[in-house]
Amino acid sequence: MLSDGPSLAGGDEEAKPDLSPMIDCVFILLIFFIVTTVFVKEPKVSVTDPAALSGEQLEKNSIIFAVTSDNKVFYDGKSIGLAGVQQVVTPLLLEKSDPDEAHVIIKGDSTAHAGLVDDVGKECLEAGVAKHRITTSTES
Amino acid sequence: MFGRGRLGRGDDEGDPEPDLSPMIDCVFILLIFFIVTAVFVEEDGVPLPLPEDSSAVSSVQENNTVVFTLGQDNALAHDGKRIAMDTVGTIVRNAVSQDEETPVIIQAHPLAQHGVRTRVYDEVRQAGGEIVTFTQG
Repeated sequence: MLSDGPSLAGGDEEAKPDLSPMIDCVFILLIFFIVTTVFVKEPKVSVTDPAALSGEQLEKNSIIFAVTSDNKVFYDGKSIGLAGVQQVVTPLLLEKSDPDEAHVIIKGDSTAHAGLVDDVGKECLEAGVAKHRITTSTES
Repeated sequence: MFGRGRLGRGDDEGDPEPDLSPMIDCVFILLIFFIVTAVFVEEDGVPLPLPEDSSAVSSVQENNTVVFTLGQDNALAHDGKRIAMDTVGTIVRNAVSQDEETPVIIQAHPLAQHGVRTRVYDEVRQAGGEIVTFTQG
């Protein structure tokens, strides 16, 4: 009887280790990922970025358009055409608390027409976005 | 001795340590969801300098403006002459050494290639040209 006691206690301790530090750790990871997650809608088309050495890192939370080599404007995997740019930007601007902080990234293919890339930028300007960037790659 | 020990341990473990496993499962599922959906957009880029910027419009009037023209066939010209891409940097560096605020205009045909224009723009930026405007022509 008496010798049973310690072995029972030992069994208890092995079955339930102290999980609190692990839970703390997992919670910190969870909060980190919740905070850093930005739900950005990517154009989902392949675009060859023009090579440039003077590019700087762009704002992560941006509205991303792609202009493909066959001169179509893409947003979130759909070809929206030039006329669709304002329809996409205007509602997204209304969601922002500070519209001046809205960023647009235009991923123009190297072989796309320069005029079309400009037109997408102008549509964004008309919709009220002041900060647009064109993507470049550092690999030449 | 045995009875007291067992009772004491039972009381301690019963109330302050409820079964945490379902909560941990739940938190792990959330954690994996956020790890998977986290998109780390790592894009490099340059500003798109459209002529609607008021600063650019005012600079157009200045007479020391450096203008590069890009034709429909992606031919690069400056001052009426065809030039090679490598000379862009030299031209801009010369102009900037006289006046740091020299405006540079890159006038591209709408059907010129975006990649070629971006290369000219990159050369200008590397040479120190800070006020750059894209126009169509």
